[in-house]
Amino acid sequence: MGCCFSCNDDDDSQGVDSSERARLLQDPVSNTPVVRVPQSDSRVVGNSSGSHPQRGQEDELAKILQETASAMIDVSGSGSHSLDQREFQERTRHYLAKVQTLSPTLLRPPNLLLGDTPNPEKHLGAPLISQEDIDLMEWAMNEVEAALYSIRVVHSEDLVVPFGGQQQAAMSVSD
Amino acid sequence: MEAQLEDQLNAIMARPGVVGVTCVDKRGLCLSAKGIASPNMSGVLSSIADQARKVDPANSSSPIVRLESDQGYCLVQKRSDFTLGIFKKY
Repeated sequence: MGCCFSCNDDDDSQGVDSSERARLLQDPVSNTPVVRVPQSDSRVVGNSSGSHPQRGQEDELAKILQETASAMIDVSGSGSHSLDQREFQERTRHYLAKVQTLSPTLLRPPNLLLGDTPNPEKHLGAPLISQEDIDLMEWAMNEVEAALYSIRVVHSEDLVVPFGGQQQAAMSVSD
Repeated sequence: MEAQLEDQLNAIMARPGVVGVTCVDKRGLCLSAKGIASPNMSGVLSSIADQARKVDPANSSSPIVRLESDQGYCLVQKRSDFTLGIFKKY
C-alpha cells in the first residue's frame, strides 16, 4: 500500500536536472525499508550437490528483489507534503506569473454587471427603503399624476389647412 | 401644455438628495428626464417596474423598487399610466 512504481528510463536526467523531469519524491532507496537479501552462501552450507545452480538462481532472485526494491517508492515513508503559508504564496505567485505570460486574458475577470460584494451582511442587514423615501415617492407620484392628467392639447393654429389652395398658389408662383 | 409636469419634476429635483428624475409613459417612452436621468433608460425603468409588480400580483399597490449603486440609488414606481424614477445620492 502507498507505493508507486517508478521505471528507470530517465536515470540520466536525474540529479542535476531540476526541471519538470525531476523526481517529485526523494531518493527511493533511502526511503524504502531495507530489504534484507538472504545470504545464499549461508543457506547452502553443507549442501554440496547441485549448489552452484541453486546459488545462481538465488543470486538472480536476490538481484531481482534488489532491483524491485530500488524501483519502488514508499510514499508513506516520504512524509507529508503539506505546504507552509509562505511556500504556498510563493508557488501561487509563480504559477500566476506563468499563466499570465502564457495567456494574459485567462485570469481576467469577466465583465459582469453584478460584482461580488465583500461584506454582504452589511448590505443584507441594511434597512429597507426609509420612510423618508417612501413619503417622497408617494408625494411625487401624486403630484406627477395630477400634472399628467392636467395636460391638455392646445392648438394654436388651424387644424384644417387649405392644402389645395397653397399648392395652386405655389404653382402659380413657380410659373 | 406640459408646463405643469415640468414644474412638478423641477420641484422633485429641488428635494434634498435628488439628482435626477424621469417620467415614463405606460409604453416605456420618456415624457421628461432631468438631472442625471437619461431618456435612454425609460424603457428599462418601466420594464423593471412591470416585473416587480408581478412578484406580488395580489398586492393592489405597486411596489417601490430601489436600485442601489456605489454613489446612490434609484427609486422606481409604476402607476396605471406612468412610471416615475427618482435618482438620489448618498
